[in-house]
Amino acid sequence: MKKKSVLGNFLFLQIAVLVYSLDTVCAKFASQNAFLSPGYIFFFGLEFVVLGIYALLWQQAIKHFQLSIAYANKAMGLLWSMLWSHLIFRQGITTAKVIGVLLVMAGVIVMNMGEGGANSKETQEGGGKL
Amino acid sequence: MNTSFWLMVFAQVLAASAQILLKKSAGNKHSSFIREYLNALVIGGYALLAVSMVIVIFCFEGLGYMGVVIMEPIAYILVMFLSRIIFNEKITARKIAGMLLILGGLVVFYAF
Repeated sequence: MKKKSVLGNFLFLQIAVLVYSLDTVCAKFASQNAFLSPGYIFFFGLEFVVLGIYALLWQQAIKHFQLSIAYANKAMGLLWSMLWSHLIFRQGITTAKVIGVLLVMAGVIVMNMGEGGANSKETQEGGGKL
Repeated sequence: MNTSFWLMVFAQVLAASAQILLKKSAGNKHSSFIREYLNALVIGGYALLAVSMVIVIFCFEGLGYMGVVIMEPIAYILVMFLSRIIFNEKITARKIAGMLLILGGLVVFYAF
């Protein structure tokens, strides 16, 4: 039973990260519309909706994890983004670029899993945008 | 690519500065619960984040989708240095290692 809830918490955290990764998808769609056109405003507004949902999920997710661990998991967002890049935007990606993304992911994990929670937990939890 | 690249760096400078403003406010004493949110630092912080979001949207054309997304972790590095300067927080060896991995990843991503 306990094991199941650990897995459940982990999945919940990943869903929060997935939702966060959708923010850049909205931003990219906004960029395909003229500045301040209805389409632009729609997708820019959608970013706030996505970030709002993310903030609600994140607040629940971090109840079950050390903030540093939760933060390190945000690196997974880059994997989701690679999927969106392929599925939604049909942008090809080279092996070198995948390696670059994996290195950045490793950097985010190393930076945030340090002793005592690293990259100033308090500093970053406020905005939700990081 | 060049203009978009530096514009994206600038957007991350704004995002990181926003976090510093929020943290500054969190460390201050406020006269009421509402004041914890409605004060110049918090409103300024979120305004900076909103401006940063607008700037990011302009960067997609030059950098592509992944090119933008991969640059967001720069804000972690900037927060690390700003926190050191403003709040005197420690920069550990591990954070430096993480920073080097992030920067190395960016170089690999953009150079090849």
